[in-house]
Amino acid sequence: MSNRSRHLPVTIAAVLILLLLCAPLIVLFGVALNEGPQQLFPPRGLSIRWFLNIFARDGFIKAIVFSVELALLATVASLVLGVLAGLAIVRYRFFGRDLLMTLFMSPLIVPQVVVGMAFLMAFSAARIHSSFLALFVLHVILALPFAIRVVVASLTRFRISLEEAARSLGAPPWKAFFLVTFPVIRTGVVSAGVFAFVASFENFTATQFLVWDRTTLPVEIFSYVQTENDPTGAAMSALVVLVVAVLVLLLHRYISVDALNHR
Amino acid sequence: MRSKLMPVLLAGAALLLPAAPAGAAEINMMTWGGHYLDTFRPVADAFEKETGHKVNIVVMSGAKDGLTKITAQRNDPQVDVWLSIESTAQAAAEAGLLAELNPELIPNMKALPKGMAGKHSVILSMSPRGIAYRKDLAPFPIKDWKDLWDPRLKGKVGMSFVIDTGSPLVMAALINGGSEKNIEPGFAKMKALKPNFAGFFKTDSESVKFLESGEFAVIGYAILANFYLKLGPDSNIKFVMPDNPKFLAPIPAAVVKGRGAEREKAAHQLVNFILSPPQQEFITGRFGQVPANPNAKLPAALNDIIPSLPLTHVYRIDWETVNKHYADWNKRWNQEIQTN
Amino acid sequence: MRTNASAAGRLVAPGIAAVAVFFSCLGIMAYYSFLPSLGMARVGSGFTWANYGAFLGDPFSLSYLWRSLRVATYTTAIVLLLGYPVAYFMSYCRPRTRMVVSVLLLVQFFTSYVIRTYAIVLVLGRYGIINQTLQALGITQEPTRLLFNEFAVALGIVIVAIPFMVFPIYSSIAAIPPNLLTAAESLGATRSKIFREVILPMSMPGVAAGVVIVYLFNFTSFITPSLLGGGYFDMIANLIYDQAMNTQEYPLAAATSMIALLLTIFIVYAMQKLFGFMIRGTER
Repeated sequence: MSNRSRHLPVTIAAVLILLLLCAPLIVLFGVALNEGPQQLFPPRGLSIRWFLNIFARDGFIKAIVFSVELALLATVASLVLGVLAGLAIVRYRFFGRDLLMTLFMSPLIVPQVVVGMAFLMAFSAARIHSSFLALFVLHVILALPFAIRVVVASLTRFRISLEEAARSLGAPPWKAFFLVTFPVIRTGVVSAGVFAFVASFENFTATQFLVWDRTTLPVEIFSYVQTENDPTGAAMSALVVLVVAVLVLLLHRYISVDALNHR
Repeated sequence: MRSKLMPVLLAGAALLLPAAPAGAAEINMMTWGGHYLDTFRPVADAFEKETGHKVNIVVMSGAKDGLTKITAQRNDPQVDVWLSIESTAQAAAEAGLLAELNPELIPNMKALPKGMAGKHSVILSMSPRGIAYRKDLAPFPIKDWKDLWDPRLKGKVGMSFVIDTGSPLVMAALINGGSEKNIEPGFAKMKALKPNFAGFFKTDSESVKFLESGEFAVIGYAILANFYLKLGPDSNIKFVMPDNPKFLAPIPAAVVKGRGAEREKAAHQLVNFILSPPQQEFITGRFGQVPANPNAKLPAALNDIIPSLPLTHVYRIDWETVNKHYADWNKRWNQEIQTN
Repeated sequence: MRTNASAAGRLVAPGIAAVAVFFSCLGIMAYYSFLPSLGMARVGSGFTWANYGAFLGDPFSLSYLWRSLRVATYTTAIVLLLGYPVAYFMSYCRPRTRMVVSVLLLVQFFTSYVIRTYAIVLVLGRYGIINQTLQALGITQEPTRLLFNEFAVALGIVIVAIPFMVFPIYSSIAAIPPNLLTAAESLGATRSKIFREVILPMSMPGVAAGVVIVYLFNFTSFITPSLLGGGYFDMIANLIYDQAMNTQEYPLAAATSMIALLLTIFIVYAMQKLFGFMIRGTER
């Protein structure tokens, strides 16, 4: 799109807001680089010992592996459920559509501590004592509202006639969906996927109740800082930031957020 | 899709349930994660080498989270040995979740001072409580609980009600002529402290972070284990353990009821193992705690931090009374103390 | 839009199954909310409304609810005002810039919540960057208290929530067919007119998604008020956490949650209707 200069006021506002969002990140890296065990900013002395400390404890590594495993599976599952439900909500008019949409949002409404306790009681009653199974179900449910809400938003703007045209030309429904609809809502699905991944990866409050034989990263960090309140937690977050940034930059060809503008 | 997936997943979960081999038992110990997990893992491994019983460690995010989990599993208990704090151990015993300890299976219990072993739990170690402050931000060296009320500390004290299930309120009651059985003097004393409050914290880690950032110059009720690794001559943080009352929070171990005779026996053996002097010294040395077994040596570093003390001089809170009133006190605290 | 109930049913069924698991867990909570509360993880037997009465009849407890509603409402409005320009900026800036902005927003999600909030302490705190700057400039002599009040909590909530608003709005703006904008431009429409007549209405689905997610997110804020409010500005989730995890009065926590849940379901339903109306209005 041309004429960027005409957007000047918006550009200035956006840059200022983005700078505001940079501040916590700068502090985060500063804290992680402290030389001593104190979490100060600006850092006193510079050292990467807290980054190395992450790898010195196998508890962190195990927790990272478990958190990533859980988040990936929960993302895939919630996206499948979310796209299907999103299609129904956008394309069909049926009784209680708004209500259904509200119900899909409900895992976000209920405070996490209650979700966690309710799940603990239910899973204990069902005699399920496995971090993986309990947390998989929990995280899919927590990720679903994000998936559905964002998928619905991107489908709402999509003209259904294209997919119908494809189908009238003889494409089976799934093919029509993947060839026509999916490329259009891909941006939405990617951002829904990011939300879903984060909803799982970041969750602490509800997760702590269901942690049993394996712990997730946020629970591990929480436990760790109770006695060793050093910059390792900050270093861990900083490392995750770096990995995510590098991954996105490497993979942006495939999950490009602006895929739509180059059609 | 989910309807087909669920049974498969449930079947998978069934396979994950532990199956104990014959002879040796496989037991679960629940404790805090992080540093606790790092400390108790080698203890559990040493125990397995000695007895053949395998110990899985499951973590709780706090003692109360542990109580929540044990309560939820009432009909299908999963924990054998549970480490917590006294208030939660008392509540679990009262709720009938804990097995009665068999002293014959825990010979090390005989060495313990009076009052350390109860019907349902036995104290493994005592964790010092006191005041932590910033040498550079506090206007004078703090020594006593009463120093917290000094007007020079206006707006500098961080406080908590929830740490140790209301113990700070009991401390205030004790120095004002009351006790947990007569709590009004505690509320009166805490109200008098309001000008000095900088804010309130809810978790251990918040207290450490706010002290380091300088938001609090003083932590009015601090847990030594949170600061233990940060103390030293170069540190700007100091920890003092005042007299009258001396507070050491006991860490009790309990055996959960309903796990079968074999596991229960192994659980007792594990508790006995933890009470043996070598394990006591290893564990308490990692946290800056006082071992319950007097045959174990006090961690050397602790001598510089806390006064030498016979454990009998420590104030022991009556948790039955506190637990009974805790919800009411909590509400009053939020309404009367924790307000601007 | 079609009306084919069975086709729609097949598509939503898996999602409904997941939500059904959630609601059956909530059913347990609803059951608990009618049991006598004994505290310390103990629950009595019998049926009682006492837990609802204890919350609804107590102005102090209710004050947590009003505070949460008020804060969630205005912080969501602020997040929308701050998030929209960023989303709009992303729609027209260079692809490379967009990449950088996306990464910056994405990584916000991945920094641990507690640690991100603690970073705000290090900025606003007594010895934080702002206070140090003010003192260095000679504007203030002593550290000023910027933390532990409503301002700090609201600021923390806003900063954490912005990315949740930007992405859905950007998705909606990016989905506008570029030829629509080119056509409008060639017909001589001014930039602001295109924004008002095309971009703004067509971004409404994204705004709806962002507002609902952010509102719920802000309403149930827990770590931010706990860390930045210093105990003076607890919100409803802090109260529920206190009842569930501190005094362990499960039935009371359950009843408080039920009340908060019903209230927010109503609010979200109303928002859904309102946005549905606005979006359909633009389709005419």
